[in-house]
Amino acid sequence: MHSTRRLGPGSHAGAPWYAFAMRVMALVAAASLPAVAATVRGPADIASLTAAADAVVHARVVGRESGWGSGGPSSGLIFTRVTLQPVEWWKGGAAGARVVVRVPGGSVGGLTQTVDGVSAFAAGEEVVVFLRKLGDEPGAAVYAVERLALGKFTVVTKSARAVRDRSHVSCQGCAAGEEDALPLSELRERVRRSGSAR
Amino acid sequence: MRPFAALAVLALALPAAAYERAQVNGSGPFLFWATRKHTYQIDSQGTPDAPAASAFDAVRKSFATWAQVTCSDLSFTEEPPGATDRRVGYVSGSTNHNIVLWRTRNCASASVVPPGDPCLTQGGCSNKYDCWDHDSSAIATTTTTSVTSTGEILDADMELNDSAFFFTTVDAPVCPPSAPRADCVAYDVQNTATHEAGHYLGLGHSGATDATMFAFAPSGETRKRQLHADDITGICAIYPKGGPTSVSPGVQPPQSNASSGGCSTSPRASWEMLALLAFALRAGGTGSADRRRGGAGAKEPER
Repeated sequence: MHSTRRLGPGSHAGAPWYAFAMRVMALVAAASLPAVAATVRGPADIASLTAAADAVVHARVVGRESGWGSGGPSSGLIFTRVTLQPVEWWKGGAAGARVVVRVPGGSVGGLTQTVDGVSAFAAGEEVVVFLRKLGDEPGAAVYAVERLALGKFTVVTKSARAVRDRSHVSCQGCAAGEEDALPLSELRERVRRSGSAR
Repeated sequence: MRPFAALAVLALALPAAAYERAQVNGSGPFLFWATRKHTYQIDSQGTPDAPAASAFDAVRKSFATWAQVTCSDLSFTEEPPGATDRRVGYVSGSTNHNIVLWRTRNCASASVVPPGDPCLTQGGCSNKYDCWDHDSSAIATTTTTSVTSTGEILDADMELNDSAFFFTTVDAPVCPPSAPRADCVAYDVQNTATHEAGHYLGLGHSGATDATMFAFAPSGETRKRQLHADDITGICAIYPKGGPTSVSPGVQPPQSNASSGGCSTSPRASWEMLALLAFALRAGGTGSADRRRGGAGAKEPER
C-alpha cells in the first residue's frame, strides 16, 4: 500500500546542477518505486501462481474504497475494497457478479494503515490478478490477491506487456527475475496452459 | 554534456546508499516515528516450534541489532512477555501496544472462522478469531498505522505465520526444505524479525544485496541477522544520533526546535546541515521530551 523512495544524503544542496541531477535521479527512482514489504515463500512463477489461484482475471480497476474491517473502528484494521471490471477471465471466475478484491490497509479518517507487501491498485489501472476466493456478498464475489504483490501484474497498454513489481515483497525461494515482464498475450497463454494442465 | 558531467560528479560525491524509505500510500509523506524510545511486547504464547526462551531472545536480538547502531540513538524497551490481547492494528483512544506474535491458525479454515462470517469478506478475522488472515504463503508481515498527513507512525505490529511455516532459532545447519526441525534452520526468527523491524522503523527495501533490507532471501537464511552498512546508513539518515528525525518537506519534525530553523531533513538536506542542527539542538538543551507527539490517540507506550 505504500512505496518507498530514496532519501540520499547529499553535500551539494543548493547548487543548480545538484537540483537538476536530483530531478533526474528522482525520475529514475520513480520508475521502480519499491515498497515496504512482507516476506513470502516462493516460487512465484506463472504456473505456480495459476495452480494456487481460484481465479485469474484480466480486468480494469473501476473503484476503490477504504474502510474499517468487520466490527468497525474497534476492529483496529483498515481494508481497501477494489472493484474490478473484468475484461476476460483466464481461470475460474463468476459471470455476472461484481468482482471485489479485498486488500489489507488503506486510509480512513486521517489514519493510514499499511500491511507491507500487499498489492496496490490505482483507479483506472488495467491489471491481471491471481485471486483467492474469500466469500460472497449479495451481488459480489470477494477475493484476495494470491501471494500478496506477487499475484498482480499491471498491463502497460502502450506496449501490451504485463509487468509485476516484486519489490513490494521479500521472497524466499523466488528467482530474481522470475517472469516479471511478459507480453500480455504470452501471460494469457501461460495461464491458460497452466490452468488446463491441472 | 553538462548534465551528464553533473551526474557523474554527483555519483562520485554521494555515498553509495541503496536504502529506501517508506511513504504513505506510495507518494505521501515519509514514514517516521516521532520517538527514538520504542517499546514492544512479545506475546507470551510464542511459537510451538521453538522453546519460548530462544524464540523471545531471537526477537529481542532483532530489535537490539537496530539499537546498537552507533550513529543513531534508537532504543527498544521490552514490555514483559504477557498475555497480550493478540490484536494487531490500531484503535483510537485505546492503548495500542507494538506486539510481536505468532499466529498458529489460518482464518481460511472453516474450523477457525465459521463460513459466512462477515469478517471473511470485510476483513478483521485475524483479531476476531486470532488467526492468520493474510496469504498463506506470507511468512511474516508488519501492520503499520500512521498519520496520513505527516507519516508519523503510531503503531506497528509484527505477525509471524506459524500456521504454515516452521520457525527456528538455531544457527546451523540449514534444514532440508521438506523436513524442518528445531535443530536446523528453517525460517529463522531473528533473520525474519530483524528485516521486519527495519520496516517497523520506516525503511523499505534496499538495492544492496548484502543488506538486511534486501528483498530476497534463500531458505534457511540467517545472514540478515546482522546489519549491512547500507542498513546503517539508512537508519542513521532517518534517525541521526542527537539530530532531528528526517521527515518529508512541509512536515514538522518531531523535535519542536528543529522546525524553528526550517531544517526538516528533506532529500536535499546535507549532512553538514544535520550536524550543525544537531549541535544547535544540543546547545539549546532540546531533549526527547520535547519531541512532538502528533496525531490523535498517539500510541501510549512511546509517550
